[in-house]
Amino acid sequence: MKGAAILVWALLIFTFLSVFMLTTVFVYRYRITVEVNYQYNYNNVQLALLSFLSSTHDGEQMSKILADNIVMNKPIDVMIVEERLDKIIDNKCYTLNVSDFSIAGSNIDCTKKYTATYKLPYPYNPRNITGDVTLVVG
Amino acid sequence: MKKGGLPAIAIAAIVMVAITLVWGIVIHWAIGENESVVRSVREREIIKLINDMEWNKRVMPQVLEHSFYQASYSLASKGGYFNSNEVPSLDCVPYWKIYDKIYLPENIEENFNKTFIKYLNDYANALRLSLPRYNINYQENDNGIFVTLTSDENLEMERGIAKIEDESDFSGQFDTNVFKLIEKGKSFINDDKVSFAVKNSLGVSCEEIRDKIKNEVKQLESEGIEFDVEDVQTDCGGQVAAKILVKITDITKYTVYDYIENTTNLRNIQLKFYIITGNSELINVETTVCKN
Repeated sequence: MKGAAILVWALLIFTFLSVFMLTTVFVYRYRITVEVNYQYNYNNVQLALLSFLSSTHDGEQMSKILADNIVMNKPIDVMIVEERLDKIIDNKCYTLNVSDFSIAGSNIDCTKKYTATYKLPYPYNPRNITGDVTLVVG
Repeated sequence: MKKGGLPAIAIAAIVMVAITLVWGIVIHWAIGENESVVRSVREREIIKLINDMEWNKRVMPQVLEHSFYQASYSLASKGGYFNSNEVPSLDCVPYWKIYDKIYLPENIEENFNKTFIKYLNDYANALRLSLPRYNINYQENDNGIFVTLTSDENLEMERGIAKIEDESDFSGQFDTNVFKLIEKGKSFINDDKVSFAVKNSLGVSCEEIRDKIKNEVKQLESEGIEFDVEDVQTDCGGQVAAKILVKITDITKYTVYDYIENTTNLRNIQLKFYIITGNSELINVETTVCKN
């Protein structure tokens, strides 16, 4: 009987350890999958921001239009920005921030958010040579 | 223990073997999956790096433009000198002529290169970009200057697992020509019209001589060339000297930073230099150290 009891205990410990290790493996794998998913979406947002900033209006790159307007305190044409972002981001679930300027897409039902940021070179000023332009996509 | 049934030890052994088998399969699957997942993360990291490189390449023409116009503005406002302390200067504006002594800037292209590279590096540091050593070539044309930056080295970006390289050559056409502006200033000094104008002002009464000099010099003004007569000294006995700030201005305005006003704004690129001229050294040369 004593031998059987030890055997049962050994079996229990073995089962417990196995379940614990299996769970650890699954959790680990799940976290990596989440990370991959995040990276994938992040890359897409980064690419969307890159496409937006590289697009042109009247022969001028959007990055230059934004930088010049910010430095000269001129208002940024919301229509131009919105039109481009709407074309690039299908679900229209986005927010673009640069300096004090912010614009959000028409879709407000956004869940997960992915953010990409690039540094925008401004016309020269030693105290303010670049600014961050950030795109948040849901 | 029942007779005819499996002994407990056998059941335990079967369970353990079964669990170990399942565990082995899971581990094998997880490791296999894990490898592809890790590879995927790494691939994403590389894509991120490529996107960053792409952004840097797209933003370089903009950096080139800002740096070029800022360098043109700075060099012109410092009378063509990279360091205006090389010669007597006042508020970073050099004296090009002090009576008989001439201080015309030499090696304008080299001075421009130094100024241009200073601004390029300022941008590169702010954008965390590592620029290679560039050879800069200027081709003057009817529309301004065509600038080419070439290097034997590539643009490099490195992040943990990967390092990428891309071609580093850039070029741009800019519609201002600071070299022409400086040449215009030099030919103005060589013509020495201001000295003639000052000397021609003699022969009027002592009270009138200041206004006479201002009028004579004013008449020399033409499109893009202005004079500020800042000081006139005379002994009322036929000796006279004048200190004049010469400003030669480009037509177009660019968004540039001014070190005196400490602001970035739309400004004309303007070559500035002082001249002190006359038939006697009645004006002392006032100088200050330029810190820009």
